[in-house]
Amino acid sequence: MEITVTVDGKAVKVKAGATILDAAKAAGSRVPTLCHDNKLHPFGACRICLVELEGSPRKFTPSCTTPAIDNMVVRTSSPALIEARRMILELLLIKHPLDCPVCDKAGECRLQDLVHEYGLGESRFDAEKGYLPPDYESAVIERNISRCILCGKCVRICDEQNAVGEWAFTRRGTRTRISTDFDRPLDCEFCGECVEICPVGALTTRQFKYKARSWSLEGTPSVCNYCGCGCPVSFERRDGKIMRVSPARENYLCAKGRFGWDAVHHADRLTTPKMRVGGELVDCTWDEALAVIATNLKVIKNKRGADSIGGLGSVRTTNEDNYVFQKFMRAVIGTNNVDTLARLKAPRGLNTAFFSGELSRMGGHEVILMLDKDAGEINPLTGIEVVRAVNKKGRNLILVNGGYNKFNKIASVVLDYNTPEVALAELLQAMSSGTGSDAIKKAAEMLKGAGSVALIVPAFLTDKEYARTREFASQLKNVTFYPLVRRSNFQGSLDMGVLPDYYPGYQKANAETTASFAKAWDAILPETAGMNAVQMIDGIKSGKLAALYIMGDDPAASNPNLKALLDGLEFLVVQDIFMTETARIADVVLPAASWVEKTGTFTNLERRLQQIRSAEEPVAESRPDWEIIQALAKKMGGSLHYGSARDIMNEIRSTTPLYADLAPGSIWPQEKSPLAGADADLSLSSDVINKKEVIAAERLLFSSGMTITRSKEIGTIRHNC
Amino acid sequence: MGNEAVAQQAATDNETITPEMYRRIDSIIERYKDKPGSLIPVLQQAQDVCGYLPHPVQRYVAKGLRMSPSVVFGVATFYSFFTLVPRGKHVIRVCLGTACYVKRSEEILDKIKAELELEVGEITRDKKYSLEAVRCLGACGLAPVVVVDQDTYGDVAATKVMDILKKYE
Ligand code: SF4
Ligand code: SF4
Ligand code: SF4
Ligand code: FES
Ligand code: FES
Repeated sequence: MEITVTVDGKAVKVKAGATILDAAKAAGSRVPTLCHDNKLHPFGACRICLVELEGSPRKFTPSCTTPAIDNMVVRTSSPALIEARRMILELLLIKHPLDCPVCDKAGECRLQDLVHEYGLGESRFDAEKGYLPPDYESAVIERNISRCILCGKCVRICDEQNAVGEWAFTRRGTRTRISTDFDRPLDCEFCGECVEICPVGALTTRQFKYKARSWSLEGTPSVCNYCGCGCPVSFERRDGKIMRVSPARENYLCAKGRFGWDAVHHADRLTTPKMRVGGELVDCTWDEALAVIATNLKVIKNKRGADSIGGLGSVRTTNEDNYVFQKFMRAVIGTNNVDTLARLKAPRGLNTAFFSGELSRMGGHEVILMLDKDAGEINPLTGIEVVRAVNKKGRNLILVNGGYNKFNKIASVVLDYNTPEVALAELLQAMSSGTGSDAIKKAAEMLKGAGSVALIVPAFLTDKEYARTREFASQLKNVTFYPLVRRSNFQGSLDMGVLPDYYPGYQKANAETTASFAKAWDAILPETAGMNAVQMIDGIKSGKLAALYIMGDDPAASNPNLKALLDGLEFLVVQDIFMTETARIADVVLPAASWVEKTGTFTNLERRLQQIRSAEEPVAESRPDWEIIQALAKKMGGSLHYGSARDIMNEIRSTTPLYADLAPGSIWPQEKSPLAGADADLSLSSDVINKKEVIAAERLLFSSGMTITRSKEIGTIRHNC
Repeated sequence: MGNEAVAQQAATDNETITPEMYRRIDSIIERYKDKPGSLIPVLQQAQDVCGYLPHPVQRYVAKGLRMSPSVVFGVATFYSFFTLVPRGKHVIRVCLGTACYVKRSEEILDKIKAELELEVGEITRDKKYSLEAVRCLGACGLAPVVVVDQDTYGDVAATKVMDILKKYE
């Protein structure tokens, strides 16, 4: 239903239930606000948003909390209103220091803007400012209590959106402030959302402290590279250097997305190519490095055959890089030995049994069944969407958690189990026969009655758990899966055919596909089956594999066994942004440009194609991965002629039906995949379980987080990331 | 509080809050959990059990009620009937409101501090008395005012205040 409201003489139609503030916005009238935000429940603390209502007994009405009613006549500006707002501002300024010259918020501070607009310099009230020193005790975030206007936005965002509730109003009267319990330092998720939403400079980040004035910043839209959610970011730059990262489109960023980009400025960045001379890695030119690689790979190929060479692609580089990488391995080297190590810890059933739903639609499901209590740590945005669904949409959360974490606070039912297997078995039992514990019965009722269910699929499932989860899902009506995907472009690496048995777009590497790619690429392609990552590791052991080309991964870092194995290879090339453990034992090391220094696309866990854009110049001599591969191909007599990442995407569109008309920002539909409904599993994690001797420290290997561990800012957080 | 003071307080908290007390808090939480508005009664009863609400007890209640510890602290510091520091068997409150101040209530306070060897907000070594300074108690006509437990004393002279306290053993 719509109602008509007249604001400043202009009639507008708004939905019933809209506030006066919404109506004023629709009418194009600007009403100042301080404590209001569309993301949050209305609070009505500051009263700066006062308006006049015709025929109302009250002189002024706060517009952000008052619903509009049909035929209401509103005035947003009058001499009396201006006077009232001035008075409110003066009261706020009693304590506020107005130290804008040294405040990082200046230029984007609501209070500063209003003081300016209403022409106030100081308060007529008692000038004693009740100064409290800034609090530097927390990691990442500083609190400057004297600047706080007690709007409660930080308190609400941390509670309503994050379910952390780190800030609260504490004490009373003039001593009221926002703090933690007993004023301890922050021990939270360090997402910085409270800083982002604070209308003044009471909360600021250490990373941006005294870095730049907000008005000197220029934003470059791109995408976070720290997990499969792929949050849109804005790299805010001054003089070609990133000063700060903010969420694009006002969504959300976790600590890694907001503060972790500084890893690209770490001293470990590779600046020049290096090759091994007399046992030492020494700097060399690009030409020398590529010549050494070309020669060695050719010799090994002639002597041992192309299938003695393997390639490991990267789940952190772009689609374009990965497409070119697998094409190089197939068309130039002549082998299907191409894979990513991330598959060893890939979620089971991704892109086969479990296609992911859209994260922003989480709130559309009546019941959310969270089978992995760590969802919020693996994919922070997934966790946030669950909290939003509960707190904003009133959805029911069923949580499987044998311990206690933030989701316990908002769950309708907590199932006290450490693994999903037993919980699912008991739920199945209760759903069919109505027997079980109270919690199980309550959860079963909810699931049975729900028109739609969101299932948060665990990141790691044993064979038994995987089978049980599928069996369970088949019993639900209208279920949407939300698998957890650690690495930013894992999806893209799969889509791009960095897989021994599939060409791009999951086209099975059979004679027919091979022939069609041979034609498209004008190349002779291998007919033998390729080795996957596990087989390649075995191959090093057995001597089948003589050379390995690793792009953007660091297997040696977490596993000494694997390091020793890799060290035994005849020839090892590592192309990376950092001097990693694996790079240290390589024969040639090539410096790659990081994701903030290049252009291309990622595909996130929702299968959404997203554009990344270069915000800084590549460090020293580093180059985008695809350019390096192309230069090497040329040295080896192969023909790759791309002028830009866009050229590569054009070719991807022509060879890969899944991407043919996939516009940036859209999701490829699961029905279009050749693997939709197939009984295939692209994860190699079950193989890993059977091969413990090869990969002893498996957990560490897969979550080495080589980039985030080099973020200085994230390093200051005592937490595990 | 400085780090040393925090550590010291934590040590006292651990000493005074016994496992038995936590068991009693468990049963209080059990009675109230999942009921709206349960925080205040739970904190009141936990204070009855422990005598005050130290940090570990607040965090314990927070987890039991599935709440954030910051919010619990917010409530515990909002209402004056909650105390975060141990209280003596008898609580002495000296009014420093304007009327009492003019009538030199500060001298009363100084006298008590000297005689009992404690500061405002502290508790005597024998745990018999704790001392608080308060703003106007609404009994200005009687200024200067001292309140011991529930009893109000008006027109108190600094020289006589110790005689009053002697009555509280
Ligand atoms: S950084 Fe994030 S988790 Fe921490 S207090 Fe702020 S909003 Fe809450
Ligand atoms: S710190 Fe900022 S967001 Fe929080 S209450 Fe104060 S002014 Fe509002
Ligand atoms: S949720 Fe994932 S993609 Fe989003 S900011 Fe955090 S790490 Fe980056
Ligand atoms: S913005 Fe409406 S009361 Fe604060
Ligand atoms: S000033 Fe002490 S009772 Fe009022």
